[in-house]
Amino acid sequence: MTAPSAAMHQPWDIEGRGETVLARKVLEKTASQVARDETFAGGSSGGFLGIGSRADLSARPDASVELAGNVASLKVTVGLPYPMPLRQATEQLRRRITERVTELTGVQVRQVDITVSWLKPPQRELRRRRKLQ
Amino acid sequence: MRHHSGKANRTWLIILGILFLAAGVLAVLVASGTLARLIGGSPGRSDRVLSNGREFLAGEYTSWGMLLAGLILGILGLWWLLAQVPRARAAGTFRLQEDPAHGVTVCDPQVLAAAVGHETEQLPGVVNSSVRLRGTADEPDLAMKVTVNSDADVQGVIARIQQEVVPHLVSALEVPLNTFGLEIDASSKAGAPGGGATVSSRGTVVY
Repeated sequence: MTAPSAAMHQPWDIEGRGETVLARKVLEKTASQVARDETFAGGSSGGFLGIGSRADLSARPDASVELAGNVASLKVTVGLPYPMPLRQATEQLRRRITERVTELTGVQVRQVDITVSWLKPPQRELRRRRKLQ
Repeated sequence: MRHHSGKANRTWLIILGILFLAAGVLAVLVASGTLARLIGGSPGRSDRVLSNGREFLAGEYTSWGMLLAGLILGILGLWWLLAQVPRARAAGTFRLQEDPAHGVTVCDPQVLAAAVGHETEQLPGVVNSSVRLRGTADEPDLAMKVTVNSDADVQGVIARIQQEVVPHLVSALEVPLNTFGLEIDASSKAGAPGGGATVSSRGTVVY
């Protein structure tokens, strides 16, 4: 009976409890999800092996991460609605990705390079003809 | 947006102008006899202008020197001639933001040109458009060629391009255009669907 109580009072061996590894893919998906959900940015959807894909503002943008220890540099390829002030929109996107990815993963995002790959103008609705007589 | 070799033209014209002016002044001085008075004593009709001309031309390296000078002049002339060919201004990727600490933002000008072209082709009566965006993100040059059908309201198309399409691009880039060129062409093709510029009906049709 004395042995378990002695073990309980021993300090925790943190090193022996294992380690948490965050895959790079997780960071990439987190960044692209944040970009889609919290900004105006979109990605591409459909197609096969990148062929035949189409611009889709509801899709996740592509993101790639370079990790150096606990510091990450991201490259994001996005599409945006047009017309929209691109500098403001991308600055907002950069700030949002930096804050949220750091907050969600604990990895410090230092740099976010953004490539605007397409712009989507608003689709005008065709005016319908109405016959009176 | 094409640009010409204006700077090279001006430079060479200034050089040639100075040379011809100097030659003209010399000719006037020689013809009026002022030069002779200045250097003391006027040369007779039989006097040689170049005192040792034969020896100079018969020199060992003279022919090679003349050939080299002719070659250099020929190359310069050819270069100047080729420089006269108008060429399109190079269009690099637009760097919208460049902060090494936080990252860069880039956008291919063709992406913006495609958006401008798409918006233009939605205008009533517009059949086709060709948009070129050059320069830099801070000094963009826009050149557009818009083809309209024969029934289109050309003034209306121009007005809408100036009041809608161009301001949209300016608001996207957040800088005014450095230059803007617009060329309107006419075609017999039908206009954009839903444009409503042309009504062909025997009954009563209301849009």
